[in-house]
Amino acid sequence: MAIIAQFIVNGIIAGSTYALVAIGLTMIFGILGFINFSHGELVMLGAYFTFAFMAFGINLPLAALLSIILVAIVAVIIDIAVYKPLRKKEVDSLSLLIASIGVSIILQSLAQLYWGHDIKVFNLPAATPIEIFGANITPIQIIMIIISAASMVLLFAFLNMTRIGTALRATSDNRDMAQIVGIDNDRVIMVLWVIGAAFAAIGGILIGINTNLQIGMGLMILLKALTAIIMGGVGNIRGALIGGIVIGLAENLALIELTPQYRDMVAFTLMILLLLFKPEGIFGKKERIG
Amino acid sequence: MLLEIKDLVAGYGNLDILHGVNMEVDKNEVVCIIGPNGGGKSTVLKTIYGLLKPRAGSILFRGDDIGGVESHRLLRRGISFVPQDKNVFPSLTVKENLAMGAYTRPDMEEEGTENVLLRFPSLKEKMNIRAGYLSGGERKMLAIGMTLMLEPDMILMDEPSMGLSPRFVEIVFNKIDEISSEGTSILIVEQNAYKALRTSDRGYVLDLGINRFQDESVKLLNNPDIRKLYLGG
Repeated sequence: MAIIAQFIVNGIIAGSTYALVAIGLTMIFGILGFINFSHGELVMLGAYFTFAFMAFGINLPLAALLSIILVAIVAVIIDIAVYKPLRKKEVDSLSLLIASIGVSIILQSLAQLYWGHDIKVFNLPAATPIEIFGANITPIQIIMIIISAASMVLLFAFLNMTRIGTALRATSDNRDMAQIVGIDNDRVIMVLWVIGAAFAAIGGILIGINTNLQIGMGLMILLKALTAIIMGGVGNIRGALIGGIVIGLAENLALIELTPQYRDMVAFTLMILLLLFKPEGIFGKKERIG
Repeated sequence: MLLEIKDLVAGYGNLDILHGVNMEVDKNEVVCIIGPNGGGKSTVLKTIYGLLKPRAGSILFRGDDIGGVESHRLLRRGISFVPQDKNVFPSLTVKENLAMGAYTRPDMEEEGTENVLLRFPSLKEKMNIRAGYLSGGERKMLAIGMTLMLEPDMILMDEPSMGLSPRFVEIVFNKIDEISSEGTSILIVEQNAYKALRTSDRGYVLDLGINRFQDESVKLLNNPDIRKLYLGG
């Protein structure tokens, strides 16, 4: 029983990081119509910038905040330099996807040039776990779960209670009509990148706290997030959130029977099964977002 | 003259659809554009509304050239556009859709909503329902309601009867009548030529990207050539 409780706790922690990454990915797809392959690199940068700020002696919360802001700025700059000119040329979503693969590789290479390719860890004091229902959980893991939940609550409040949030959902619904009612696409897209990048950075920082930092960490998390958005229905924010948690739980609960090296297989088997039998996602397509 | 279009040429990609269209809409007028499919009817509206750039000719609104001016600026000058379909935000509630209709002028949201609900009372009890769950007729009411939020001087309507049952076609055209009688000019593109000519003051027949006929709607309705060519005999 205690072991199952432990897997559930681990599953929720992993799942909330997948959900954070998946939410940005699915929103970008909803509005810009392409899968941002470089989304995993925003996760990686979130973790590495935090690492870099901490190396200057800045404490974790402040380093994390600076890192989130910096990643959002990087994402907006990439959009202005790469995706915006491509949008103006009205290229198809395949070209945008391929451009984002290019961006992904460039960001990884630059990060490796600067930080090297060895595995890094945050320099945090050793934590004493607390026992809840027989599962061990550290105080920092509790804070991680609270931060993930708070970010999502804030996002839903933003999307449902502010004008620009409503405009974001409107643009995701019907981009042509958004232009017709005079919604400024450029502004909406900038807000979109700031949210998507900030969520990716938070995810990266949480992964860094929970495990370690690797230059290539983005790809695996991107693929997990993709599974989550397929499960939730592409473009559906609520679906991405639930999909992320479900995948985190599934791959950790599978450890009851499997050894950890098979963990990733679980998520991707799930993805293939979903694509085969429920391609529109468990929560339907785009009727409900936010 | 409120709107004056002179020798307008416009199209998509390498293809010109309009080859020199001329058109006028005066204050308080309802003007319709009829004609066969592919004749350029919708292209005229899209070009006026800044969704396509004119390649030659001019579009004057109150004497200012608005050719190529972006939609959100036209909204502020008093022009609104109702596309023929996909003209609401399906996952937003009716209330949120109306708010988006006033996106460029948040100060007009409250008053605009009140006015729209007076005009379309059936929307009142649906305010918190997602537009995607409305019937076709209600969706059309909402789409027209969204353009009324900013109290425009001129509304461009693309195929208001499209996809509606005869009963709702009747209702929509009555609303068009009502809106115009309160001082808004309306330019309608319509497949349902009979209905459009009966509701409008003047009409243009657009075929192969140029004006074929133009006259008062009553005269167009009684013109034997037009009956034969465009109204099915």
